[in-house]
Amino acid sequence: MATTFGSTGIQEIHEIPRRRPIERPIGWDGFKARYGITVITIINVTIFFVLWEIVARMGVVSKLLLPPISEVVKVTIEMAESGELWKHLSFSAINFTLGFLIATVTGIPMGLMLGASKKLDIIIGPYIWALFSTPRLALLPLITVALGFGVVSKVFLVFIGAFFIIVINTWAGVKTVDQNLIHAGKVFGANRFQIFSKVIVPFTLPFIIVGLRLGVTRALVVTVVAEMLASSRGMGYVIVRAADAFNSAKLFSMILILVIVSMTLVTLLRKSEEWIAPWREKSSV
Amino acid sequence: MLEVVTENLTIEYELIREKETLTALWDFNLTVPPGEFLVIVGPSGCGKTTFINVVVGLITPTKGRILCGGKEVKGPGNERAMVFQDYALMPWRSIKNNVEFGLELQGRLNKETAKNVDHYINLVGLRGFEENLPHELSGGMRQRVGLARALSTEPQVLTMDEPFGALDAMTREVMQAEFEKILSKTKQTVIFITHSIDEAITMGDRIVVMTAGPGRTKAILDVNIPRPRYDINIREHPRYQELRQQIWNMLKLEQQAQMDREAKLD
Repeated sequence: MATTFGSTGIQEIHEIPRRRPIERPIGWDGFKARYGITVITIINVTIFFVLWEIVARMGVVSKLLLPPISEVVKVTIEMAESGELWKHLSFSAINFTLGFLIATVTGIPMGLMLGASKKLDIIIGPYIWALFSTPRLALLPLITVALGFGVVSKVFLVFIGAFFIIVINTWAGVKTVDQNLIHAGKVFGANRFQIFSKVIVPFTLPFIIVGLRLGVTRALVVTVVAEMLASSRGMGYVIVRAADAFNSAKLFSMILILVIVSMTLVTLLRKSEEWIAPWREKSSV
Repeated sequence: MLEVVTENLTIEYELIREKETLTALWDFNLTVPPGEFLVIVGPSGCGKTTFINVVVGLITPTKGRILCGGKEVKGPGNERAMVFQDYALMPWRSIKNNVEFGLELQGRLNKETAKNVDHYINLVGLRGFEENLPHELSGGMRQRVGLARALSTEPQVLTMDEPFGALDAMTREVMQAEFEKILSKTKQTVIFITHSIDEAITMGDRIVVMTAGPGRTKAILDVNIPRPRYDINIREHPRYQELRQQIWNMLKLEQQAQMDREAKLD
């Protein structure tokens, strides 16, 4: 029991234990705490779709610009039943996934090496910056001519879209390592490899994830745009054909699917950023 | 505990942008007998951090050399450890893993040494926090982790570069008392750098006062105050007052000289 001296005399207060298990609320408060945000979001999104439907059916906006969500859903189901949805989605999915995976698997090591080796930095660095700064769409015709209309050219374009940003973020992460940590490693006898694996790489991990997060959005954009300009399959192709045919419902269907996929991936990556590096201030972007 | 002998140590840095050579230490000589707690005080820029970095093997001498236990220091070694001013803990490692860090790098982590790790975590008063991450701890606690990490490797020579510099005044005094308690049990040769005269007198067996850069030894004073010294009344000890006066006067001169020197360079 601790004693405090107040103006009215001595007060005895109970000692509060320094560490105790987290108190979990029960009952209605418990429900609010655990599911509150989820419930609000569900209500929020439902209202959004309901409003969409109402506004679209009111005729205020042309049906071409804002098809009712019910029609969007109908068209999606039709495409699913006819197999059209799968045909195009799978094409886009393969392009995106392959391109992004290859970019990740090659980009991260490249970024690490560029950060770690001054020689590589000087020799390869300029090419990385040059290609990073080039608008990829300018290269599209060239690559299509070289690699054709199909999966290979798409995967390559997606790869280019994501690769450089992954490399650059990883590279920046390595360069930013706190010198103190490297000193600590050296003092306690770390050799070059240990400094790299036990100090630099763990420090760089959050930067890598940011690079992946940025790369995902770029890769998605490139996937769709490449399919819009030089493809006979895929979501981008569907978008372009739907636009030509003034089929807004189909157009919105593709957009909605893209939004859902993008949000899912980005949210997953942001969560993993928090999980991997709880000591870093959360990025607001 | 090993002795540290510095012979004619000269360290020069090349400042590329200014196209100048900066001499941090010039013909510096110092002997630290085994087991002694030596404190180095000096104005900013006198080379004390440079000196300690050479002892621990992070910098190689331009001229001269340092001997530790008779062997020339050519780089880092298991017998010398450091406690850093900004803790230098790996933020992704738990406290326990941070304390094990030194042993792990040296390849000495096994069942035997794991007991050491637990012992030192206890000794610095952090039992129960083994699985926490550094960002969950206060500054004083983080520095204790730094100390536990250094002690776990059971070094013969412990260097401490203004370890309490980043702490607030109250925590600083508490940590001084704690470290004195802990280090009197472990009995290494300690080389401790500080800006604070009070800290120097509280902690050291001997105090080296350095001149303005390039630093040389201005004076070496034996403290001669009995331990334990972590008493609020230690400041009233006559020897304490005497030392404080002497060091203060010397440092004031050197600090002024340092500022004059830097003013002339502009």
